[in-house]
Amino acid sequence: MVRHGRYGKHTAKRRQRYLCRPLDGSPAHTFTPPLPRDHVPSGHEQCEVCEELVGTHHGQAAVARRHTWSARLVAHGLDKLSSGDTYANVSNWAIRAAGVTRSRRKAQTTKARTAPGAKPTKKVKNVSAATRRDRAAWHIAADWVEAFSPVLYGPLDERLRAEALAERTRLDALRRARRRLDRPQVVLIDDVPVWGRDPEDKSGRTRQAGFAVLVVAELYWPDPATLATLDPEVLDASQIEDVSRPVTRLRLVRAMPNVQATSWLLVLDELGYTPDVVVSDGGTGADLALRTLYANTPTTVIPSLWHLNQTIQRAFDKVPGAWGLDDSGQHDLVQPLRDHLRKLSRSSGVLRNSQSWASWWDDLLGIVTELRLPVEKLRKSRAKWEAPVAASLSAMRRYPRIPVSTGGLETLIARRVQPLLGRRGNAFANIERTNLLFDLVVARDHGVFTNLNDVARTLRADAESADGWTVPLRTISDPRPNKSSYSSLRDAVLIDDLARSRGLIS
Amino acid sequence: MSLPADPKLVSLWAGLRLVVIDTETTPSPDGGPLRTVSLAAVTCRGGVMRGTWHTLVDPDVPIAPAASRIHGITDELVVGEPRFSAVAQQVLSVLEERDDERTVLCAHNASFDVAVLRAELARVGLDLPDVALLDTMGALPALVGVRPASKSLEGLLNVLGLTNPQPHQALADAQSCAQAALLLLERAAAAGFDDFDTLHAQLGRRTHTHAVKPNRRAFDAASASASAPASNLSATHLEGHSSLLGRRPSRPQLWAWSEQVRECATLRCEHLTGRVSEAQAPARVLLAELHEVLDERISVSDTAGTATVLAALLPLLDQMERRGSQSRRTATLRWEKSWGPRLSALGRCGEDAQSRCPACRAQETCALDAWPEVVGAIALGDPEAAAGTLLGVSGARKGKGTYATWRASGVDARVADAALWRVVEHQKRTGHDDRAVALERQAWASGCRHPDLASDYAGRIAVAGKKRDLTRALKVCDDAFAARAGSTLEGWTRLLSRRQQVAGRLQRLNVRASGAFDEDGNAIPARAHTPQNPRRTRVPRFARP
Repeated sequence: MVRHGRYGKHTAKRRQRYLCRPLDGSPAHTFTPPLPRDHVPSGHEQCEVCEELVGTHHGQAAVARRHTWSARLVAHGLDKLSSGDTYANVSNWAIRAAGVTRSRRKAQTTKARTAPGAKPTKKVKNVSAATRRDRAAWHIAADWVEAFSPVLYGPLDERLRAEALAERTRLDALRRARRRLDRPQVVLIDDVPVWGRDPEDKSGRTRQAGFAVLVVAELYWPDPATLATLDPEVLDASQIEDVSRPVTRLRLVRAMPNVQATSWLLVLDELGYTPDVVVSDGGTGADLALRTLYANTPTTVIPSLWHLNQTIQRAFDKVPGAWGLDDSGQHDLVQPLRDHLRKLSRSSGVLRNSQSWASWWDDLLGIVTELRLPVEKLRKSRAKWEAPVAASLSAMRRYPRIPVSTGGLETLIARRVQPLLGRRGNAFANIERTNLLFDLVVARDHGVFTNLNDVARTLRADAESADGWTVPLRTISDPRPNKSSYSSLRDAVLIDDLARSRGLIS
Repeated sequence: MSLPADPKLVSLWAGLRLVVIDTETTPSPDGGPLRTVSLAAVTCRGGVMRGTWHTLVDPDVPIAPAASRIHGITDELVVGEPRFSAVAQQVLSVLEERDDERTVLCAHNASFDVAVLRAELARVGLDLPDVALLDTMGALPALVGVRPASKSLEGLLNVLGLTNPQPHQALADAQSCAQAALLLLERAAAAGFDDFDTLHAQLGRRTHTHAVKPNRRAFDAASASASAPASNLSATHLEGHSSLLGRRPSRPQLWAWSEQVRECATLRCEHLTGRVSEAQAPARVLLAELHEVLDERISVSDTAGTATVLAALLPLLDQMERRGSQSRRTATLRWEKSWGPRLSALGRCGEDAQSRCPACRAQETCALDAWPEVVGAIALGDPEAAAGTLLGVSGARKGKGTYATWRASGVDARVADAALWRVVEHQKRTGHDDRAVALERQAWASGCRHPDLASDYAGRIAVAGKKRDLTRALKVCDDAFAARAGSTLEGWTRLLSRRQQVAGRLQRLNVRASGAFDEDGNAIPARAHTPQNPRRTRVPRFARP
C-alpha cells in the first residue's frame, strides 16, 4: 500500500489518497479511509498541535467527513472553549494552527457596487480588521460545539444519571428500612445573572444580558472502600479529613431566559432523580419550583445561610451607622452586627434547635434596635427565612457533613462558569448551542479534558461508528426574521412551551 | 421533447400528471343514469401532452337519435365495441397515482364527466378514486385572467386562440381541453403560481372528485337501486302529495295529513320536505304533528324514517313556539336537551335501500348530521351580538363564555361547535380577520372540532410552510377527523381536501425536486445526501414542541 496522490484541491486541507496492490494478485485499487488523513508534504512532518514528528503516512485524521479540521485540533479547541475562550478566539487559533488559508471575498466599495441611477447601497459600518476576522470565523468553533459537545457530554451524562439512579435505589431501600442514610444525595442550586455590554451605551456600561445561568452541583461522597484503605499511621488526621470530605462537582449548567420557577422546573426535571437534600439559594423561582417538584417527596430544602448573610448585609446598604472598618481596616458591618452574623454556622450552636434559631433572630433585631438602625427590612427577611431554615434544622442535625451554604457551588461558578460570561453576555443568543457549550464546562469539571488524546479518540470513534459522518451542522440555528432579530435564549415563551409539553406546568 | 423553461412552470408541474378526460353519452331509455358511448383520456406531464387513450363503448342501450346528432355515434358504430365493464379497469389505471406522481383529473365541465364516470363505475361495482380535480370551465380561467365569451369548450378555445378540429368527438375534445389546460397553467405560472397546491386551493369547492355530487341524470347504479322505494312509490301515495294542508285545517284534515307524513316517513319519501314546506297551516301546528311522528319513529328505532321526518322538520325549527318570555336560545336549547340525546342514540342511516333516508340516497348531508348545525345557528342568534360573549380569547375571560357553559352543561358538542364556527365565519366575512384568528385558536384549544373550523385553522397553521407547521396542520386535521364518527356533513369533505393539500405539501418538502425531468417529463427528485450513509440526526433539547 503506497501513497497515491492528493485530493481535496478546493478545500482548506489536501487529503491523502492511497493505492493498494493486494498480495493475492487481484487488481490494484485506490482508496481513502472513512476519516481522511491530511496530506503530509515533505519537510512538514510535524504535528500542528504537539509539534511531534509524524510519518508521511500519518497525517492527522479528520474529525469527520466533510470537516476540514483534525480530531486532535478539535479536541484542543473544545478544551479551550470549555475553559472560557470565545468562539472567535478559538476559531482564529484553529485557522492559524492548521495553517489553512481561507478564501475571502474582496471588499467591494460602495462606489463600485452602485450602478448608475441605482439606489446607493447601505453604508457599511467601519469596523476593525480584527472584528471582521472574528465575525467571519466564529462559526468554526460554534459548529464544533454543535457537533461534538454531545459526543463528549452524552456518555458522561448517561454515566452520572445511571450512578445517581442506582444510588437512589440503594438509599430508598435504606429509607424503607428506617435506617439512617449514610451518604444522602445532596444537590446545590444557584443562579448567575448575566451582564453584557450595552451596545446602546457608548460609555461601555453593562446591562442585564436578558438571560441567566442556572447551575446545579452534586455532592460526591468519597468511596467507602477507598476510605477503608487510609492508613492513620501514614496520613495525619487533617489529611484523612481532607480525603474523606465530600466533593462538589457541577452537574447541570443551563442558560435560561430567566430564573423563574418554570426555568428551574425544567432544569431540576433534567436532573432525573429526587435528591434527599437540596441546598438552595433561597430565590423565589427556585423555591417555588422545589415546592412544586418535591411536594410529595421526603426531600429537605435547606436555604443557603451564605445567601441569608448576604441578604442581611444588603438590608444595611447605604444605611449610616451600620458600616465601619474591621480589624484589618476593611469596610465591613459594625462590630456587634459583624460578630452576630458570624454565628451563622454549624459550629456556633445557632442551628441546634428552633429555639436557638429564633433567639438568634431576636438578638439580631435587639442589636439593630440598640444601634438605632432600621429594622423593617430585617423583619421581612425574618419572615421569609426563619421558617424554612427551622424546617431544615432536623436534617442538618441528622447529617452533619452536608453543607448549609452553597459556598462550594459559588467557588465552582467563579472558576468554571464566570470565565465564559466575561464581556460576552450579549454574544450568546441560541439557547441550544449555549447549553451545549455549558455541557462542555460540566464535562471539564468531571475531568473529560484531562487527556486530549482520549478526547480525540472519542471524537474519531463516534464518527467512525457512522461511517465517518457527523450530524448535519447549523440545524439548531435560530430563525432570522426579516428586519428584526430573534434570540431563543431570551424567549420565555419557549421555556413555557417546553415545560408544558413535559407536563411540568399546566 | 420540449420542456418548460420557466422555473415557476417547472415548479408548478413538479410531480404532477394531468389526466384530461372527455365522455360522450346517451340517455338511458328508462330515465336512469347517462351511459357512456365514447371515452378519451390524454395524459400530460411536465407541461406537454404525453399519451392518449380512446375507446368507443357499447352502452347496452339504444343510442338516442338526439345524442347521435351531437356526437355522431350510432348503434351501428358501437357494435362489437367493449362494454364499459371491459374498459373500467383501464379507466382506473389511468387515474391511478404512481411513481410519486400526483394525478389530477382535468375536464371541461368536470362535474358532468366525473358524475358520468362514477355512475358507470358504480354500475360495475367499482368506485371512482378520490383525485384532485381541475375544471377548465371553473374558476381557473378567471383566476389567470382569461374571460371566455361562453362557458362552452369552444368559447374557451376561441379566447385562447385554439381550434377543435372535431367538436363533440371524445378524443378531439380531450386533446383540445388538454391544450387549453396547458395554456391556462402556463398563464398561472406567469401570474406567479409556482405550486400547484396553492393554485388548486384557490379554485373553489369542487377541487376533488369526491366533492362532486352526482347530478340527477347521472345517479349511480347503487343510488338508483337505493332510491327504489322512492321511485317505486305507489300511485296512491304520490296522489296524496297533491293534497295541500290549508291555512286553518280541521282536526280530521290534520289527522289525514299526519297519516300521510307517517307514510312518507315509512317509505323514506323524498317528497316529504316539499309537502311540509307547501303546507299553509301555522308552523306550531306542523311542528306538533311532525314531533309526534318523529317521536314514533325514534321509539321504533327507525333511523332512516327519523332522518326523513327530521329533514322536513328542521326548516321550521326557528319558528318554534316559546313559553312566555322564554328566549329563542333557551327554547332551542330545551329542544336540543329533549331530542338531541335520542337522535344521537339512533346512529346513522344504513347501507341498504330500505335503511337510507332520501338525503343519504342522494349522497347529501343526512338530517341526523345536519340538525346540530341548524340548532347551533338558531341558539346563537345574531353572530355579531353573540361574538363578544361566546368565548373569551384573552385575559381573565380566556376560555370562558357561553361556549364553555354549553359544553359544561351537557349541550351536544356539535351544536356548540356549529355556533362557534358561525361566529368565526361571520368575523371573517366582516373583515375582522384578527378576531377570527384569535377565536379560532382558542376554539381549537377549548375542544371545538367543527370540520370547517379545523380546515380553516389547519390552513392558517400551514401558511408558514415549514415542515413543523405542515406536520402540525396535518395533526389538526387528523384530530378533527377523530371526532367525525361517520358524519356526512359537507365540511368533512372540505377538511379531507385540506388534509390532502397539506399532506402533499409536506411530501414535497421531504422529496426535494432537482429541477430536472426524466424522459417522461416527471420531476426527478434531488439526489439524497449519500443514500448509503443516511444522515445522522440528533433531537434538539430546546426545540419548540
